[in-house]
This record gives sequence, structure tokens and C-alpha cells, in this order.
Amino acid sequence: MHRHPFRIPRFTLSARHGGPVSPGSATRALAALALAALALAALTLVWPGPAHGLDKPVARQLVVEQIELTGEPRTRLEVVERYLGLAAGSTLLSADLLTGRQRLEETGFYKSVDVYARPGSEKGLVVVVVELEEHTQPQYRFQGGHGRLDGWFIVPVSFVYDNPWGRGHRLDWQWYVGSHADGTKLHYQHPRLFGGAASLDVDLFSESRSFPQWVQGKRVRERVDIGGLHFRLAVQRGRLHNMFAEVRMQTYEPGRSDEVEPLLGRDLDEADVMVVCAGRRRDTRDHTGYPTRGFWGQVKVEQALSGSAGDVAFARLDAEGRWYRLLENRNVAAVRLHAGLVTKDAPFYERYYLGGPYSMRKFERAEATPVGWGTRTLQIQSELRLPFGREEAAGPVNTGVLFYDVGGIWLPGEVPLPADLEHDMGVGYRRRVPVLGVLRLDLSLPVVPTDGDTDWDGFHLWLTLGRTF
Amino acid sequence: MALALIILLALGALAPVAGRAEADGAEGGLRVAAVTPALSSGALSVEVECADLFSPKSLSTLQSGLSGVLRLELRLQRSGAARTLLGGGHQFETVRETELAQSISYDVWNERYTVRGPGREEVFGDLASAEAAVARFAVDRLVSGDELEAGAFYRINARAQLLPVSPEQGQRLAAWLHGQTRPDREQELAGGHRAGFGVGGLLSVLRGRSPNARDRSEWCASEEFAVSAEAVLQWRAAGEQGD
Repeated sequence: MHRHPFRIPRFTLSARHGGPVSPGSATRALAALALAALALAALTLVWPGPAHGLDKPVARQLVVEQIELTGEPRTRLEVVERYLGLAAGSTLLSADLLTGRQRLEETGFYKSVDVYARPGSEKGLVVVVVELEEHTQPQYRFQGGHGRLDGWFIVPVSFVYDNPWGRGHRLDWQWYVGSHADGTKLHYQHPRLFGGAASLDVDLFSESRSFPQWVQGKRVRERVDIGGLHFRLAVQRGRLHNMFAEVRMQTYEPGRSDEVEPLLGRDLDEADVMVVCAGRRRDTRDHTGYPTRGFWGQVKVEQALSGSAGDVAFARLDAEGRWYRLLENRNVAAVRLHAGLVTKDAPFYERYYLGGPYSMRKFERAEATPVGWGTRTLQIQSELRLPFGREEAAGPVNTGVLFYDVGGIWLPGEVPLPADLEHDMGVGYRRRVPVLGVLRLDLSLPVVPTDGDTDWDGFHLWLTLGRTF
Repeated sequence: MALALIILLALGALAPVAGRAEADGAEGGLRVAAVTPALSSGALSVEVECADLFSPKSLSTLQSGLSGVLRLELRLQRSGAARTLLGGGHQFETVRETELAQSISYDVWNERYTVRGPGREEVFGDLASAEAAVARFAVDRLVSGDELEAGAFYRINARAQLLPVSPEQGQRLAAWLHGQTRPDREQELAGGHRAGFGVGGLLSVLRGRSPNARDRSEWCASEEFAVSAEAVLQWRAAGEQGD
């Protein structure tokens, strides 16, 4: 928000002294100066001004006199001003109305939004009129997305009752189904705790998540029922900006079968897990949907508490960075690095996996993962993204991709070595479509290792949703 | 998982339908009143007249001192098929697309309107004259005459939209806005992304209606016209001599 006070131009006078100045001459000079000022003032009063077309352009700016809400909205003025990006005293450009309207529409709080201007009480002052029609009942919303842990998922049914008290809070319930997990979640968000210094998210959820185990090339399915509460406090400004803290209180109920009993042992016991977490995130990307430059990174440390708080204790350090660089012809080079370390007491459902469409693409999901999942992982994914055809605000409609991935995963006690790393490479195609977002087709090709033997198992075709990173 | 696949396939089946749907526009009072093509001096020229430019809100915004940009989309369309006996049934395909923009602004301090277009700037003391000036587009050379096909039927489609910023600025703003992290609606998952939209958004997508269709007119087509073979030959010969 570019607010500025109403400012009066200030003139400063400077004089160069050629010699000593007597008190008398100084008085005369001041009197002459006063006379000249009076004459100039009189002239400006009687002179009609420069002829039409001869005046020099003056950089005058429009200033917001007032934000006026119409439609009897329950939303408070400060909430509207926050999304609008304008308040009384702000300088105003035509684009401000467009961006303000779009930001208000994107909150999803309103049935309809219109933003326009009317002349204010003086020339140059403008009243910005915001016409809002609020939702009065919970709204149905369709959602979709993807994540490294979540795979791709869709939310065919969700009901949103945002902004119930006019303060910009969010409340929604959703039922989601996806490649890795199905479940329901109730979510609440307070967007401006402590005067806007932080936001708070609370999730109450219940889901069933898959954790496949690969035993001698054969997949053993294992599903775990998970329920719990998740609190997340994110700092939005100040010295701790981008820091976050989380508390997870979850109950895990792994499924038991003759196939998994001998493999996972005590990890199959029902367990309460309470995890506290702190971390920092940094995001300098120019675009969230199709970044062409910048960085996204996150580091977090977690500690699961035992005793009366939980049944298992473990610690985790996790770091992820993604870099984007714009090349010629709109092409983009993108690299993602993920490193994770969790102590050996972590049960399999708190450990890492390797393989799948959001990991090493030549493997099925978790195919390269040891039984019981790994406690250390390192993954580097690189993509050369080659957009072609039409460009939309959300990004290019068509993108060709060349990718190369390196990754490894290790059990407790194993020493990570470069020879342990898996490699894959391939080609891909992404198409942005209505409703679904980005459809992704990746074909992993065999890699020729340094000993010259072609890895013919490297062929793998993935049709999935969302970009890799 | 199986359920997710069924829903996904159902939505996937809807997506191409959504892609084919035509935008129906016409959300405001703005309209294209006349599209008048002309063949002269070896080129196809066109004049477009827009009407009912300003709604009360857009007029109020303009008179506050904020500028407006009138964007015009032009499509030259050709019919390959001969006219049927019933006089209809032409299938037109777009052979040339172009966009133009003219802006109008009001100087609240000097109380005058300025209209700017490609290569021109005019100042007016009253709204009616300024509105008439910004509403009229003249394109001297939409295509060269020798690019037209003798015997084929052509028409020119035009659509106008009133924007608060120029189309280029609008695209940049839209991309910028879309690219902004919106933690409240689009959550960053672990290595992923989540987005959603409501019934209104879903219906808009399925109906092919752009959310940017505000203050946009419907398409308006010119009279169909054809070019004689002699004229095309003459223009081509003139073009070769010029080369």
C-alpha cells in the first residue's frame, strides 16, 4: 500500500556571499526579497495561467479520499482494505482498481465484487466504491492438487463457510480422494493473529493413507488409518517473518495382515504421536503455478515427544530447495533438492520413501525404498521445461520436459555412498486443462550407467496431475 | 483410489467439452455497432464503430480521473465452401487476428478529455466528442489485397472490451496476480500445490466463459464480401512491380 500524507511543496533559498554583509545591507536585502515575493504573489493571483496546450505536464496524482463499502457487507472495512491494497491517503492508479477487485474476488468470500471510483470532495481526490455481495450460506467448492507426500488428489465435495464474522477467517470441511490417501478434514484459519503478525491454521482430520512395502520386487500393500489435530502458526512479518511452528497430535492405526506382520513388527501397533516442529520457508519465485525464476526453500526440525504425550520419540531434520532460472525462448531450468534425516526410532509411517511420479520416475511409488522405509534420503530432480504454444495467466498451455533425477535412500546404520544413488532420465509433456489443472505425462528412459550396462527396467510411463515441483 | 480415478475420468471427459464451448460475453452494455470493410488501394481496410461505451460505474470511474482503455479484437474470416442454394451454411475459419487499443482519460484538474490511439492524440473539452473519438477504430490495412483468395467469401468479426488498463498491462497484471502466493486459498503442500474453485467457477469453465468477460461486447460480424479474380491479379501484379 503506497500511502503518503498530503504534502505541500517546500522551497529552499540559498545565497552565495561575495563578501562581508553589514546589518543594514542584510535588512535591505530581506526587504527586497519580501517585496519580490509580494509582487510574485500578486502576479499569480491576477495572471490567468499559461495558454491552453503550453503548460508543462505536472505530475499530479490521484489520492484516495475514502473507501466506501456498499451492499451492506458483514466484512469489516480493514479486511476489505487489506485485500484491496488501498486505504484513505493512498495514491491511486487505474490498475489498482483491477488488481483490488481481482484480489477480493479471489478470497472467495463474496458472490460478487465490483470496484469503481467516483470523484471526491476536491479535484484529485477519489472515493473508491467497493460493492460486495456476501455469501450467506456455506459454499460448495471443488478442489484438486498434488504433493510429494499426498500424491495427486481431488476434493469432489467440500463446503466452505469463509468470513463468517466479517474478519476474514476461514472455515471449511472437505472429503478428498487421491492416489495415496482418502479422508476428511475440517480446517479453520485465523489469518491475522497478534494484529496481523501471524496466521493460525487448525486441521482436524481422519484419513487412510497407503505405505507400500516392496519385498523382493513384489509390492505389499499397507494402509494406515490416521486421525488427529494439526496446528500451524506462521509468522507473517517482523524479524521472524517466514518462520513457522507446528504441533501434530495424531493417532496411527496400521492395518495388520500376514504379509506385513513379519516385516514391520512393532510398528504395526496403534500409536499416539505428538510432534512439535519449527521451520523457516523462503519464497522468491515470480509465479507459483509456473515459476521461471527464483527460489522456494524450507528447512524444518521436528521432535516427537514420548511419555504422556506420545508412544514414540524421534527427531527429524528436513530441507528442501527448488531453484528456477529463465533461459532463452521462455525455457526454464528447474532443480529440486531434498534431503531428510530421521532417527531410527521413527516408525515406517514417519520415514522417507524413494520412487514414484513425484520422486524417482523410473520406479513405482516407493519401489526403491527398503522395507520399513528409510531414515535418510537425498533426492535431486532437474528439469528443462520447454513451453510452446499459447500462454495464459496461469502459465503456458503446453510444456515439453527433459528430466534427470538422482536419488538415494538408506536405513539406520547404513553409510550413504555415491554408488548407492539411483539415476533416471526421460521426457515429459504437461498440458494445462480446465478443471483439472496440469496433466502430466512422463516417460522414464533407460540410463546407461558408468559400467556400460543399460538399465532396461528404466522404462516407465506416468500419467498424473500437477507439476513435479 | 478407484473412486478417485472414476471422478478424475469423469472430469477429464468434461474438460474437452469445456474447451470447445464458446464464450458468450455480452456482460455489459458495450457493443460493436458497425463493422465496415472496404477494398481500396490494394488493401483491405476496416472501420469499426462501438456504442454504449460507458456504464454509469465506468463513467464515474473515468470522471474521477482514472483512464479507460477500449480494446478491439478483429478476426478476418474466410469461407472456403460455395454458398448453398438455401443461402446459408457457410463455414468460416479465421485467417487473420489482430488487436487494437485506444485509451481515454480525463484530466480532473484541467477538465478535458484525451483520446490516444496508434499514432494519434486528441484533446476534447466534452465527453460526447471524446466518446465518439475513442469509439471509432479505423484500420487502413488489415491485410494486403494480394493475400486474399479470389472467389472466397470473407467477413470481419469484431469484439470490444473496456478495460482500466492496456491489454499488455492487463496481461502482466493477470500473470502477476496469478503468480502471487495466496496462502489463504492455495496452500503450499509438502512439495506440492492445492487450488480450488466453487460451483460458479466450475460452471464458468464448463461454459467457456472467461472471468475477464466483464465490460466486453458480443462479436459483431460485417457483411460477407468476396474479391474478384481480376482485382486479386491486379494487386499481385502491382505488388510484384513494387518489389
